[in-house]
Amino acid sequence: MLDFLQYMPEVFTLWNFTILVLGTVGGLILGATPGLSPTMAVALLIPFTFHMQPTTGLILLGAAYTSTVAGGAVSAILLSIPGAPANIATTLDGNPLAKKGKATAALHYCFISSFIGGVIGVFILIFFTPTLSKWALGFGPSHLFWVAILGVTVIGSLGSGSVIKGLFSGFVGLWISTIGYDPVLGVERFNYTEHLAGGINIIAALVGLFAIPQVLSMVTPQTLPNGITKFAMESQSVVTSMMETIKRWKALIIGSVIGVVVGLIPGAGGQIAGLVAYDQTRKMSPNKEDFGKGEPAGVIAAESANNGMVGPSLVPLLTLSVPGSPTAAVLLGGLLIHGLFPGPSLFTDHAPVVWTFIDSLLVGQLLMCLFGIMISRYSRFVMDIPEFYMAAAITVLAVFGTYSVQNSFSDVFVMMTLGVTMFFASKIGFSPSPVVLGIILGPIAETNFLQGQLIGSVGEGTFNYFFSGTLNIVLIAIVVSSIIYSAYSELSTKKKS
Amino acid sequence: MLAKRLTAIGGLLLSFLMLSLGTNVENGQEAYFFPNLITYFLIGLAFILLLIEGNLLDWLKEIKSNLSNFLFSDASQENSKGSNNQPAPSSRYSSLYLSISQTIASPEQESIIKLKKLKDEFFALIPMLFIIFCYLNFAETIGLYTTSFIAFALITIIYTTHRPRNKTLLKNSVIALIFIGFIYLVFAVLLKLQTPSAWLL
Repeated sequence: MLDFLQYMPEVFTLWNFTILVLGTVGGLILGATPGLSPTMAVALLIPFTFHMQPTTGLILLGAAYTSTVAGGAVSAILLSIPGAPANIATTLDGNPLAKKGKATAALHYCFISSFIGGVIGVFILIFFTPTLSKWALGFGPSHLFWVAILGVTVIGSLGSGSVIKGLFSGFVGLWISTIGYDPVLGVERFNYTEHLAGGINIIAALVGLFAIPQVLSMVTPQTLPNGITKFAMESQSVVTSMMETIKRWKALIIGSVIGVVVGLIPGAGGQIAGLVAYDQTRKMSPNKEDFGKGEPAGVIAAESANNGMVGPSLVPLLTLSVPGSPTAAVLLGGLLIHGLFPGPSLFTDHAPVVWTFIDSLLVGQLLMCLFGIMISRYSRFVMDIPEFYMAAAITVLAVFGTYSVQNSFSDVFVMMTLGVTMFFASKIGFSPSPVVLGIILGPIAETNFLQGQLIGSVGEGTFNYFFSGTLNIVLIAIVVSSIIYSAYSELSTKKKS
Repeated sequence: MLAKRLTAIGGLLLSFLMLSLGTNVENGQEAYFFPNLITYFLIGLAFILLLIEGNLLDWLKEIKSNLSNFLFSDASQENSKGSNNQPAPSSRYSSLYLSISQTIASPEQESIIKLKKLKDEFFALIPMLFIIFCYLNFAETIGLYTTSFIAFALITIIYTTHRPRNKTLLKNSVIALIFIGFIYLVFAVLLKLQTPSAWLL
């Protein structure tokens, strides 16, 4: 169990450490670019590892995975455009904090909590891999279906301040995700134009729904409620940010624990981790009404969760060849390229490679935090750029980021259409977060629903399959209580006001 | 209330449109089971939206009272006034139209201000939407990097807050060139992105 200490010096050899630093800095930059998700960043780096030693190659991929998840928070906080789906929850409080002139502080909270969550996640990977991999395998289609629905209902209560509008948006997102091929029968659905032939790409939807409304609102006359046009930027020392983060220990614990649990569930992904952690932190906070207006605990919970899931998402990958997230699936490709076949024997047959890789994830968390905090110093430059320059730059970046996903201009058209529609929908109180989450979780929900239907039809019946069993009941109870609690909170807030 | 009611009605119409798209299909009806299931939930949610945020019950009560006023009070007036002194049908219908339109819309001052703001925003957006439309439609013909440069320059020139605008023309064009140079470096040189073959770069 203490093998990880034995192989730690390997991380600090000149070549390995240089690659780790380059991977971390590159990952932060790629993560901060709207459209370049962690999955894509890792996929882009795989060809660079061809000529490297397996250990060095995996260090590069691991560093990129860790830092792109955290880097996505930079654009989420500064521009309200999540760099990756995992950072959707970070925008909810991160951007309001930046708008109040506290961008540096928000970025500090983000990197410090990412570091703490990430380290907890890697320790879980080190110490509990065999036990947790068995538990994670117990998740069948019905459980994954309810996990996806939980994600949609959770965001329903967060996005727009109205539970019904949030749920409605989430279900619209689910419906949009069904455009394209049916995952089981292979029938093409709702294909009314050539641009919809391959369905809706998740990155195109993410960039369009977040970036384009932001661009359009930048070029329309805006004034803040108190008459000023912009808040003055405030600087905050790293020590103060650390103390503020530790003061919000509840958010850190909730975020890290939820990150670990969600990371272990194959296919659930960081977006669910961040949102569920944010939602739970808000519900348990005495000052719920501050969430969504720039509450640091919101950023801390979301970021500790989405980085906390990085380590655990590798548990089923390394022991059972079952990737816990889309990025872990790409990492699986990286492992196979270097002749490493995941499975129980991986830790014995290739112990030096695997343990050095895991150690590099641990050191990578620290480097990510250090470089992230260094980047935070320059946030004021981003916030001081005139909005018309930002609007032009984001438009061009959104087009390139979306086009680069699959070299398709159809994705760009879809991105722009969704973005412009979302801008007008936001004027009547709808928020992009539930729609994006619906689009992301739609394929998970549908595939598992249809698989569950098939399993149920040959066994206990579809209804029994989805509504019986302890885990199903627990998940359904969480879904229902999440909706009821959110509705109750909304009503009580309305009564108070 | 006007905006909320219209939103809820719009949501309901959208849900029914989605349902019709999912049910009126020639082949592979089975593949539409999941999207149709989602649509039923959407219809339910839109109805709840209308019920709660659109105050459906109060709205129905108001319509009912207006209708009963129209049907019964006018009839009683007619009886009392006798056959020689009938109210003009046009005024009778216009009073009904007025009361129903007031019930549906009830345009408060807040809604009117919001609507005016939305109109101003829309006019400010027209050049941006036009630039985006041209950018996307000509990128594959002229060249992705060239159209990106033109789009960047146009957006900054049109929406600049500095006056006079023509003095910023050169500065914004240079900034656009530098930015597109950076984009070229990242996407074409580092990431080896294949752009559509076009007249220019």
